[in-house]
Amino acid sequence: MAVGGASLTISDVWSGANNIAALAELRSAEIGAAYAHHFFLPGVLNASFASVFPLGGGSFALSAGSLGYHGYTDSHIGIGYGRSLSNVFDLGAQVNAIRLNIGPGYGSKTALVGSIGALFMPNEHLRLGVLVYNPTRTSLAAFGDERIPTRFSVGASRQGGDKVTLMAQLDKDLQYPINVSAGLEYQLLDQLLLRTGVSTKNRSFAFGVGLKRKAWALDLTQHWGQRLGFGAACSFGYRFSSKGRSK
Amino acid sequence: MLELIAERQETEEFDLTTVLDQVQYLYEHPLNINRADRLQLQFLPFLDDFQVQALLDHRKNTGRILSMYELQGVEGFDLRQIEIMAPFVRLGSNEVGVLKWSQVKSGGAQEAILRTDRFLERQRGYGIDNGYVGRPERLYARYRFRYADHISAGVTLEKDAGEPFGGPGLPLGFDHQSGHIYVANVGHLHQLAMGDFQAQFGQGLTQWSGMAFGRSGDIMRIKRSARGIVPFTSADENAFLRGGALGLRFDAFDVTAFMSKKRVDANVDIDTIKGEEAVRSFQRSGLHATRSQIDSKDAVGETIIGGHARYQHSSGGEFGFTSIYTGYQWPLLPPEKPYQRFSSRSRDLLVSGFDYQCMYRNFLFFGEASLQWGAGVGTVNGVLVSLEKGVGISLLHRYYAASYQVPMASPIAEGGASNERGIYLGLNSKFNDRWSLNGFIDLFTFPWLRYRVDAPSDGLEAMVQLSYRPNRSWSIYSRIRFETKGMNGSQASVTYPISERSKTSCRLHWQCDMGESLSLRGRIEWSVYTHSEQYDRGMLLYQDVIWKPPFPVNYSLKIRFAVFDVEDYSARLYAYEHDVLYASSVPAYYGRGCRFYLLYSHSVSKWCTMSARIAQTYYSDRLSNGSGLGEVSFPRRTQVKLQIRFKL
Repeated sequence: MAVGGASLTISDVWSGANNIAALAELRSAEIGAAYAHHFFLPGVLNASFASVFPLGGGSFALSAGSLGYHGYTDSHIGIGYGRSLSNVFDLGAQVNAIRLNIGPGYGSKTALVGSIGALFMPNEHLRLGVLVYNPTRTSLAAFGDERIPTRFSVGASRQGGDKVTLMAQLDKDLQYPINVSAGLEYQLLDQLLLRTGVSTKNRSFAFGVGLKRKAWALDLTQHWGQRLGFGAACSFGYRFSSKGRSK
Repeated sequence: MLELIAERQETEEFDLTTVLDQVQYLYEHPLNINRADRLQLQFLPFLDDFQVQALLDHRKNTGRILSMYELQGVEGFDLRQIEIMAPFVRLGSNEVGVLKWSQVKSGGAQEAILRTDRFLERQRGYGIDNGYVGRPERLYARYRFRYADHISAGVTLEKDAGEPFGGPGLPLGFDHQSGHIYVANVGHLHQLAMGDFQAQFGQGLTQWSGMAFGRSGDIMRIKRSARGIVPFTSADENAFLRGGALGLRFDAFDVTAFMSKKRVDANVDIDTIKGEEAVRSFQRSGLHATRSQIDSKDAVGETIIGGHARYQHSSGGEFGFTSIYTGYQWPLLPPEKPYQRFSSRSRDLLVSGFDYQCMYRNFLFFGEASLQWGAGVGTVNGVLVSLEKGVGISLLHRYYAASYQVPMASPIAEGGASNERGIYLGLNSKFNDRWSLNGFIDLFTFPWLRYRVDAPSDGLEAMVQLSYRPNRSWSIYSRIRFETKGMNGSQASVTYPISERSKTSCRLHWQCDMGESLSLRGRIEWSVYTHSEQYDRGMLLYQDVIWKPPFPVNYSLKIRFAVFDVEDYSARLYAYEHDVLYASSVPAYYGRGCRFYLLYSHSVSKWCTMSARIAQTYYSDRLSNGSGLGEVSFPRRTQVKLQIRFKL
């Protein structure tokens, strides 16, 4: 969130939602929970849960989330797996069961949506990510040929020294103009991270802090859109064994 | 070097004289960085605040710098940086000397310049009634004496094209005349100016006259480094103060007071209700070539009295307080348009501002907050962070109330120092010796109406530049710039609906030094201007050849050939052009055609250089060019320029 959404190349417990392939870089079991109130708009609340379990040469992820309010709810449960195919290349796939519920009286629909992601690390400084969300153009309703939108994302990140990571990403959703986002993470102290990012979708800036202490992580984000105003998000993470995260 | 600075500001016609002046002086009289103080170092156009602080710290800890290569060990400096700055600095003694008259006499630099230029084609405005009064030649003369940063005295005279020479009200013949005497850094005397000068304090929100960098590729320039009182040497006819200024320094404190009294160009009308004269609008062009321009010349008296007090700590922190009173001879009476609802309507205004900057570790915080008494407030705050070697970011927030109406303010802004709030984020990243990336994004909102925008509106500007320098002689960069803003749409019902206008430009620039004498530069750039589903496209392609043999050869030659094809003025492209010394030219390319220029400089002797320049634009899509009085009934426009420079 705090890097403007340019999260395609980040390996953490949220990789199930960002880029499933990046899971392959995780070596320990983790769980996380997040809550976001986008632009403090009533009803645009997002709660999510994620977990990762290393298995064999890769990692499994289980995730769930819900967006909306009683009049409109968009919730999902997902399972995914990502693994390394070589030292420089990771691949992952995820299936989400999406349930869309609109108001009293309209009922709800359920659909299965897949996504495929890849992560390429040509050298120790650079990471490139690709994600196709819903390549099958899953149908939601026969009426009007309503389908879950397909999204294609490419992103890059660069870590030159040991303090700064730069990230940039392009997302094209079939229904919306291309979104350009870029972000930066700065390790101010061992346990304190500062983040900032921009995104053209809502013309928004984001600023965040990340705190790390032993197995615990806490991230706080404030965002601001030119037309929609302020919003906020927070997330918790807990890591079970400390055999060293790769990130 | 000059190019580097000019390119940063390659968007508007822009008076670069002051900065060119400084760079040329530094080139001929390199700055002793073993003795220079913070202010002098800050004004080196290629050092940012962190580098200045690192240099000062290094000097304090290890004493005198003995070799330029020693700087490689200082944080923020690398070999490339040292190569750029080497011609402008020297490593002298670090003893603070006492100013002696004999030194001034022997070490002072004198310089005189005579310049003239004109268009060869006859413009429609000459020789007709209600046209230009004078002749089409522009005349420019200046003299300046200078001793380091201590003493400066000079005169500048100018007649623009079409202005009359001599006659009533022009005893010296020239339409614009300016002179100054300036002394600085002598004992407790910080700065003393008589005649024409410029004053700049804080972040420019309260008072800033003279050149200021805006949002550009150089993201660290978003913070201003005010120089206090500086001599005025350019031919800009508005951006100066006329009177006297005195600044005193006591250790960490300095106090400055100044007063300026002059007449400014304005349209003066009779206020029909009160029956007295009132100022409708100010004229800022500085041109006095037609009858009506001459009538509005010096139409209203302006008095400015100001003061500034500052505390400066050796760690780089400082606090300042500025107060400026501006009074006009007549009250202001702008037209009763909705967008001018908050425009100032009194005859005087008082504004006070507080500015600060402080450095904590690798964070540099800065800002200014100002209050215009009885009207509005404005504030600008930012931070520069040097994250790690080669990576820096800048962040700036600004808020200027619609009722904040201060004519002498010139802070970072999209529109002006009024009716605006915005947030800017810039990044500067050097990946390694070859690759670097920088860019910024700026989101701005105008809470009240603006000229030709009949509703509150907003916009976005962003730029990304990737540079590649494989070796010392080659460099290439590509740049994408995007701006979108709300403007009145084309169809009016009761009011105009606001529609988005956006401009995207995409550039590839290359530069190659072929040996000692020959350098090649070229560029291709495309632009698209979009408004209400319509597109106007443009492209510009040029190649420069610069032939400048080393010392024993006494001439140099600079040539450009450019072709351009731009569908509409709104998609126009700007490009910096080489010009005679101290002149700068950044023309807008539009229409379809080609352009060339040829600049020849010849050093007749050690103290005399002559330069000649010819520039011609040919249009293939029209039979005449220009508009109004400036119209030429040929598809071409040719400018010739001659300059002689004497230096002693």
